[in-house]
Order: sequence, then structure tokens, then C-alpha cells
Amino acid sequence: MGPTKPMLDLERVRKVFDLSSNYLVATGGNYRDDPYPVWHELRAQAPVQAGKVHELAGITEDFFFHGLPEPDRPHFSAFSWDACQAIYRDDATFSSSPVAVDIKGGEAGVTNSLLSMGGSEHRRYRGLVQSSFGPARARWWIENWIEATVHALIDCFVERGTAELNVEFCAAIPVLTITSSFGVPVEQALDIRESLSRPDEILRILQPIVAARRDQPQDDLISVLVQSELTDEEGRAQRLTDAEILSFSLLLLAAGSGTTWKQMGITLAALLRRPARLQAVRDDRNLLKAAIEESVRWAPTDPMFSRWVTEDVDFFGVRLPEGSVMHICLAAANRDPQRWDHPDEFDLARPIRPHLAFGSGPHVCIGQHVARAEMSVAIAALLDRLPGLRLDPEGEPPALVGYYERGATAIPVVFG
Amino acid sequence: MPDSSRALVVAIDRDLCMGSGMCVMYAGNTFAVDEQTKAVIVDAAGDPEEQILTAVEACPTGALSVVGTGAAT
Ligand code: HEM
Ligand code: SF4
Repeated sequence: MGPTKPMLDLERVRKVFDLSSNYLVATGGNYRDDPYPVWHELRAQAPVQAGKVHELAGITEDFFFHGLPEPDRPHFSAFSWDACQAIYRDDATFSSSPVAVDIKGGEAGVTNSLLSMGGSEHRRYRGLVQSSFGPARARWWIENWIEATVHALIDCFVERGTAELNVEFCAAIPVLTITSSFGVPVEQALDIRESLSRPDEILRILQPIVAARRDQPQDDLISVLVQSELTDEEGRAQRLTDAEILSFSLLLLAAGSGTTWKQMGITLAALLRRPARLQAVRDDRNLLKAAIEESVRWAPTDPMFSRWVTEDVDFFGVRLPEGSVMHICLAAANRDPQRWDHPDEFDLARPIRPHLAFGSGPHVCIGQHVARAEMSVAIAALLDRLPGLRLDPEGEPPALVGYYERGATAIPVVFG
Repeated sequence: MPDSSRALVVAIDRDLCMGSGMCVMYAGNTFAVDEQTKAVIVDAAGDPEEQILTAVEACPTGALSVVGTGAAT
């Protein structure tokens, strides 16, 4: 591949990853305001309230995400650190699904997966891949997939002196990382991403790879899946079926590509709009970790996840009936003034403390160490290879947009 | 170097631990994840006390608890 030839069809990347495109407008992609002032007001009124997050914030449009629309259930939302943390830690009362998961018989889809399981079933499924996602495996991800992807993308624009980092860089890295860990060639990476709502199509692409790895395993994630054995309640070990592998794949593709793209864009936008802080990171690469942790605390790309209430319970002074949906506004918790000083400030000097951007409880993000590795390798490579990297003074500076999926608008930069 | 004779004593509940690796990310010289994907303590005073407390707080399933201070080994 020539150094200046784009690895991906950027027009297609732009379409798949445009927050205001058909793909993402349903989650509030057209939302342009800063949601945090209202979330502060709501948290100050009461930590737990009846209603959906966007409704309580005065938005009359219907937005969809985890736990929405669920028209036949009462809805509640939590805004304080203590309440959000308590919900995450009590997975017996606050379950990840209203019904049992049925991977083999049910319809294939992103939520028909370990995302919606509970208790020991969730642990058994998650346990199959957890070790491939641990901090000790970060180097495996970096050396096998992340580093090569990052540098190949920079090769495409390094000579040009300008780039639009959101699409040309941030959007491409996570989707290529996760699809290549599945053994999917670059040319098919976008076919996969575009087919998330058509599991049959993804199965068609993955099936030959799964068959090949069953014959001859390689050093990649799909081989981990085809070789792993699930031990059932009676202690019998069995290899995963195609339906189970598809379920894992759909979840990892959905959860791992859009999120990391948007968070990387948010991090870069925050730094580029604060040139003194960008310079500080350039001078002291240890600050990159602080910048990434602060970015996920300050502006998590997915500000809300939801749980289903399993029994009538009094919670922070509110009566929650069994069967209600509880929306965890983790972005509001991440700026709770009870926990953080000057919470609205993007501050690299703040002590690193746990936040809820990757959730908590047994469903805490399995990809968080991979996401951190992608963001730190990518941003470090930009700083190393693009001297004088700064926002294009002629361009529109990036803004953060979207409601239930937040991300940056275009990030036009110049360098050299 | 932190004084290991006064290190925090942290207990790990291996049934609750689901191998998230978050303790490793906040206090990587103190905790590691073993081959059964469960947390272990590699050096009770591997990190400053503050970082170890952060790791305990970070554990998503409450598998870590401080059970005292004292001679660690
Ligand atoms: C910065 C990027 C990311 C953010 C902000 C993020 C955020 C989250 C959050 C908040 C949850 C918990 C959902 C809940 O409470 O129900 C979650 C779960 C999950 N994430 Fe991530 N994520 C990111 C990157 C990734 C990556 C790179 C992968 C995979 C390669 C991934 C895979 C998953 C999976 C599989 C789950 C479900 C885990 C379970 O239910 O046990 N995520 N993520
Ligand atoms: S943070 Fe908790 S669950 Fe995660 S590895 Fe450490 S002890 Fe285990």
C-alpha cells in the first residue's frame, strides 16, 4: 500500500461516523448545546428523580439509547455520584436486562449478549475473553494492531500539512483495531461497521474466518473465541457455537468502535482548544495518561446507561416499583461537586480518581484498557510525527455535540 | 520507597473479583491479575498509600477491602 493512499474510503467513514447521520441522529446527534448546566441543576434538585434524563432536561424530542424507549415502564434517572455508584454496585436490584438472555434461540443483535446477562451466567461468558482485555494484554493489542493502524493512517496525511483528525484518524483507528483482531481484512472493515443492524451480513463475513481459525488458530481475538470453552452450570465444558461467537462479535464491534472514536476526538479537541495544555503534554508525555483520564471524566462519550429494577425498593427517598427502568446519568456523576473540585474544568493537574465513564459493577467496560491504549498510542504518535500540531486557524474549531452519544465535530489541524 | 512495615493490608475476595484489572491500572506495582484472571497482591507497599486506596475504591465489584495496617508479607 502506497504511503499516501488512504487505507479506507474516507467518504464512507464520514457517513458511518457522522453523529448527525441516519445512524446516530436517533441518539440525539443533532443536539448542539452543553447538557451539563441542566444536569447540575437536576442533581442539585434531587439525586434520583422520576423521568428520563432528556425529558427531565426539558427536551421534547424522542431520543433513544440503552433503556429507551421502553414505553410501558416507569422511568427514573440518577444524577449524583453516590446514587449512580450505588446502582452500578447493586446488580441484584438493578439488572442489565428485563428478561433472560437467549443467545441460541433469540434474535441476533448487540444486546442479545453478555451485555444483558446477570450473575453467574454473565461471569462465565465474560470470563472467556476477560484475560484478552486485561492491562497486561495492552501490549498485545498495541503491537499486533494499534501501532500499525495509527502509523499507516498518519502516513496518509503527514506530507500534506493539514488533516481532519476526527474522520481521517480518530474514527478509523478503533474500527480497524477491532476488525483486524477479528481477522477481517481492511477492505471489509467498513462493511462490518455498516452492518451492525444486520447480523446475518456480519455472520456471512465472519463465518469463513471462524471456520479457518477452528482449523488453524492464530494469535488473534477470534481464535481466542473459537478455542474457548464455556463451562455450564453442571460443570461440562463446551466450545462456543457460531451463534455465541456472533453475539460476542456484534457486542465488541458495537461497543468498541464508536465509543473509542468519539472519546479520542473529545480528548484531542479538548487539548487542541487549550494550546498550553497540549504543549504541557508534548513536553511531558506522562501527562497523556492524566489527559485521557480527565477527558473520560469530564466528557464521557456515552453519558448514560440503564438498568431494570428487579423488586420494589426505596432508593434515595424515591419509591422504585419493580420493572422500572433506572437511567444512570454517569456524566452528571462524573461532575458531582461533592466529589470533584471545579468539576466543569478540564484540569490535567487533578488527582486521578475513579470515575464512571467506563461504568462500574460487574458490567464495567471490558475494553477500557484497550481504549486507553488506542488513545494514548494514537495521540503520542500525532505529537511525535506532526511538529507544531495545532487547530487550523482558518477552520471552525471543534465543538462537542450529541446527547446520548457525544463526540466532537470536525477537528481541522495544521502542522509542520 | 514506601515503608512496607506499615503497609495497608488489603484483602482480595476472589469470588467477587472478576479480573477487571482496574486495581492494576490505579496501583500497578501493588496489584496484578493472575492466570485465573483474578487479582493478586505482588507488593503490599508497591505504590503510595493514596494510590492503593484509590485502587480499592475503584474495584467495580467491591472485591478489595482494607483490613488494617501492619507488617505486610
Ligand atoms: C473510550 C471508549 C469507551 C467507553 C467510554 C466505554 C464505555 C463503556 C461503559 C460505560 C460500559 C458499561 C455499560 C453499562 O453500564 O451497561 C461499557 C461496557 C462494555 N464495553 Fe466499553 N467503552 C469504551 C471502549 C470499549 C472498547 C474499545 C471495547 C471493546 C474492544 C468495549 C467493549 C465493551 C463491552 C463488551 C461492554 C459490556 C461489558 C459487560 O456487559 O460485561 N468498550 N463500555
Ligand atoms: S479491580 Fe477488583 S475486580 Fe478488578 S481485578 Fe482488581 S480486585 Fe478484581
